[in-house]
Amino acid sequence: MLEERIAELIQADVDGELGPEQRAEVTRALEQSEEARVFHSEMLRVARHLTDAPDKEPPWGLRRKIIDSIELPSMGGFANNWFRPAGYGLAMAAGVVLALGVVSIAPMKSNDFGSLVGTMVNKGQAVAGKPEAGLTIEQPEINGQVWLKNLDEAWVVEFDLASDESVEVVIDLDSAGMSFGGFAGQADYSGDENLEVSGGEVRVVNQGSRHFVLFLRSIPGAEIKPQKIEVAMNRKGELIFQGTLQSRG
Amino acid sequence: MGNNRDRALIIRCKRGDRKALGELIKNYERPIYNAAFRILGNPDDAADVTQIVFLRAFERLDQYNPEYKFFSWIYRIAINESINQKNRTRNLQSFNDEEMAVQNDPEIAIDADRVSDIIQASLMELQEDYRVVVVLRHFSDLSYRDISGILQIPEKTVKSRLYSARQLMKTELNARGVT
Repeated sequence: MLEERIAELIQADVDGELGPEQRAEVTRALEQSEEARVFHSEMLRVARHLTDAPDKEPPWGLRRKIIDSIELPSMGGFANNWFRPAGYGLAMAAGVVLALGVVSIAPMKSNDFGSLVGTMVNKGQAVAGKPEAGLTIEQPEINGQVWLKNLDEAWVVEFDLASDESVEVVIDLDSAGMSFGGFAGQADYSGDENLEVSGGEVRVVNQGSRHFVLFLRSIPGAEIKPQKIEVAMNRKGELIFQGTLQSRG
Repeated sequence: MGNNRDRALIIRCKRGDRKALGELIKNYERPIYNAAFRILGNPDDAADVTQIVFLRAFERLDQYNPEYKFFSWIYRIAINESINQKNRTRNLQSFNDEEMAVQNDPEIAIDADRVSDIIQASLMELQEDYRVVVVLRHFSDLSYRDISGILQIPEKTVKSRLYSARQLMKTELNARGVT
């Protein structure tokens, strides 16, 4: 039977909680006792399995939902009760507004993606489909996420971004073999004012917390699946972020 | 997680700086979500708890004493809210049953994803106070002292719970073919 003190020391050793003297004591115990060695190896194995288990990715939009549900005092303002979280009701409402926002804007001009937007309404989801690729942006000027998603019959690039000042987001669709099919954003975020399409390049201006979607259509004769979409972000003409949405397979 | 950096972010939040709020949430969203997921075993519940944790934290920020680590404080809220959520929703059993049903098939090769699922299912077999220390130690990578501070129990109790929990995990994992 392994001495209780030695068992405790072995546990602490596995957790990296021992000083040099105690570690030397564990080393001695391991040299002298087969039972200690077996116990040590078992505990290490269990600890390794637990530590090696991969992190789970928080769901898309959770961070934005949390941020949007918390009210801060206005800049420079102060009060005893600094924070006024909006609570569950408003948090839920934020999610609903987000969902409604996406569907409240018609797709751009000549592109007929109306049926797709309708599908999203019926599903009651702003963001449908499995992410094929994603980018996380963590720059001082802008942060958020970009996802390439496959909706049943179409591809979309979805943006959830936050920037204090105006940041230009440039999406190169040429290398993806796709062309621009439509834009959907929050109710107060119009494609007419914030979007420019030129050849295979789409430029969107982001300022504040914005959630928007670009619908893609395949170019005749090209691959149906977008292979690679380049995303760049510029602040005052200076490149601040560059990334590639690379689809699997 | 740097407490000085957290403190600076909190001060900026108090001045109404939403960018600081975003940064603070960005720093803690993932660890809180993962801790909640490992305790609850359900991604939807974990997402709900993560949101509640931040709402509660900002609601009670006046009660936060900056002499203590912010992460200890927010983790404590996370653990309490996870336990509350678990008490509210008793849907964990179905998850366990499903996982156990799958993992007991010896014909299925055990790959990394399955090991992860088996670990989660084994965790769910532990009693709550054991599961919480395992999560804080192995998934949140916290020291005995930090765990002791978060749970407000003596370090000796942290050690003994970890000891028992790991022994049980060993048996569970062996029984599920993870060696």
